[in-house]
Amino acid sequence: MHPAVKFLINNMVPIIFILLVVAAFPISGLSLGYLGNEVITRLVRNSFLILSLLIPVMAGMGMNFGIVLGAMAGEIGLILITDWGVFGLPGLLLAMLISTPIAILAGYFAGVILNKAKGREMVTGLMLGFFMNGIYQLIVLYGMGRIIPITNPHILLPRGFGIRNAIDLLAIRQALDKLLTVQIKGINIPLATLLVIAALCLFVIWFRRTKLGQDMRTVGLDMEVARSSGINVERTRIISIIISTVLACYGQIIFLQNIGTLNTYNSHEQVGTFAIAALLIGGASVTKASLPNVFLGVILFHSVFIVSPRAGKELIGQAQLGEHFRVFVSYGVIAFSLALYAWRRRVEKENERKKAMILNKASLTGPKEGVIKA
Amino acid sequence: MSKIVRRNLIRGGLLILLILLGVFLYSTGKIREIFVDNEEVTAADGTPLYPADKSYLVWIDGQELGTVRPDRRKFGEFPGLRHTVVLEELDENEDPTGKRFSREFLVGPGLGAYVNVPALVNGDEERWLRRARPEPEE
Repeated sequence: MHPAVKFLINNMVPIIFILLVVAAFPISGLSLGYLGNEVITRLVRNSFLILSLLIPVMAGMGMNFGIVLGAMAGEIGLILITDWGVFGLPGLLLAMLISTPIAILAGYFAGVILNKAKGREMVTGLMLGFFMNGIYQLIVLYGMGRIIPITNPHILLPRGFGIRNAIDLLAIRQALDKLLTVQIKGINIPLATLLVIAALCLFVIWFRRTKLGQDMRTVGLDMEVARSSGINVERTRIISIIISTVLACYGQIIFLQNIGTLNTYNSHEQVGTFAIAALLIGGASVTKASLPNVFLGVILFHSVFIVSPRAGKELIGQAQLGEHFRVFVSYGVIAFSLALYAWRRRVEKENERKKAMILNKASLTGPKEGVIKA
Repeated sequence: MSKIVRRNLIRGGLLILLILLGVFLYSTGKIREIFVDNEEVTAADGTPLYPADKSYLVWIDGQELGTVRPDRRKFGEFPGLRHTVVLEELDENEDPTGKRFSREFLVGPGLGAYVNVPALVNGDEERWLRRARPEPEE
């Protein structure tokens, strides 16, 4: 295959999205400054969550739809600190501290389940998210205020137990974002949050070089080879899911402190889908994802999100078209990437099969020629 | 010391450290109700000590609470243990006279602070600050 064609096939998803943004941007009528500001805001808001997907990919578990579990753990931490009235950065850190054991427990549970569903981790993770959503709703809607003491009347339902549908996170709103900001050409850059994201990137790079990171890569390449070389495959896979869930929990807290409002029952629902869609748009696949994929993905995915409603409005006079386009894009890109991945795998397998046949043929015909020549 | 014991000790230590961190974060981030009262201070036998006859502009932790007139109260919620109250004296027309008073104070978790303006202005160390559980709103 020609290298240019190979490059196009390998980077088809990001190329399509770059073309989409380039085409829709002039139609939308938005200024470059506005787009830049919005993209920076969303980059800061979403990067941490998407980075949490990298480690399970390394361990060969595909895209972790189970990050929803981590997001729920983060939300429980946020509900508790809102009830206790803990403000600012200490409140944010306390929410992270409280939700860490919940995320570890949820991650362990998810890891054990995913080990029982090897080869079907993604769909199992997706279902696990739905299942845990039910447990979360049971805890938040019936447990809080009855079993778990909640006293703040602003977050409790009028009946005396259960949490309201929306909670104002005024106590920690942009506590991290506004800690350290710089303004460059009218674009506000929340430096503190970017530093936290950079620290996570460094952690991912460092982690890949550790013994555990190498083990995960080996498990990701071939579980049988890993097992025969003495790696505890199941334990390694569980650890990768625990790390991912804990990071997703922190990611959701960072996401919500930026937004400033918690939709108690559905803030976490789309987290997995949107994060995975962004990562795939960045050029990642089910088996390979890197740091550049994360950032390119966030920029492209959110550029489309920002530009498409306005472009829709300018084109046919309805902004709602753009809104539908958002949902279509997120689910569509996951389906497209997975189909592309399956097609690529089939082509690779076919090529391997052809190569093996040629080699087999050569080994069969080789000695005969030798005999004739002799 | 065996390896298992040492490992458990380290884990236990880490757990205690995390709990202490949680307590520290809670006490530094917990919101405190601060009341600034401009009311007359009287001795135990009812003798007036410091009259409340002037208005003051009030700031808590750099945030303006507004003007507290005689026999009035200002109230605000502020996170953290340590707070600073700044008062600026106002004349009859509510223009600043240039006299400023500033004090720092600590409030424990679960408690509110009641700052008495005339006592603070007159330097009464015993009466200018009272720490108590905030009274429920009527």
